[in-house]
Amino acid sequence: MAKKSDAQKAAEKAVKKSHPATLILAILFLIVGAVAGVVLSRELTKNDKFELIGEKQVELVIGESYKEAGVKIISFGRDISDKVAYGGDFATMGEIPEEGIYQIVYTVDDFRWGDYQLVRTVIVGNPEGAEGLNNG
Amino acid sequence: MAKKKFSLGLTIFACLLALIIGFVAAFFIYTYASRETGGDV
Repeated sequence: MAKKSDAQKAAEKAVKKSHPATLILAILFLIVGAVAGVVLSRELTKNDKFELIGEKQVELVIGESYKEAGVKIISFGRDISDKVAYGGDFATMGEIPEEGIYQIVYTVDDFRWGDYQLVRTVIVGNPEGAEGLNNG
Repeated sequence: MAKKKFSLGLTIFACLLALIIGFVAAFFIYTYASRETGGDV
């Protein structure tokens, strides 16, 4: 069996020495605290969202410039839309993209939305493979 | 076996500590567990 640490020994000693009422109250307060934590988390995050502004699929004619509409990100009730990171083809497509299909990936470095991403597809002209992507 | 003595100070301290630990742990664990992942890929 693993040797007990000093903290573990001190904790066990404190528990043994404590009055049962102290232990029961401490456990009750632990539960009350946990319930309050869950309730506050639900309240703070109930209006949170991470969504695209504008269309999910944008179609441009060749030579037309692409205007980034951005995303709306609410985390714990705060608007952090300006913290969005643009990935995918965003850096390579330029202001006036050439004919092709581009995918812009939106992510944010945030505790709430750290593992979430949205994708916008930009179709310029009539490239090969665009037929399967059309919404209609 | 010696009778355990009730200490009001220790009880208040233990309850406050338990409340804070329970609140912080539940807040972060619940927020982390219930967060949306993936998105549209």
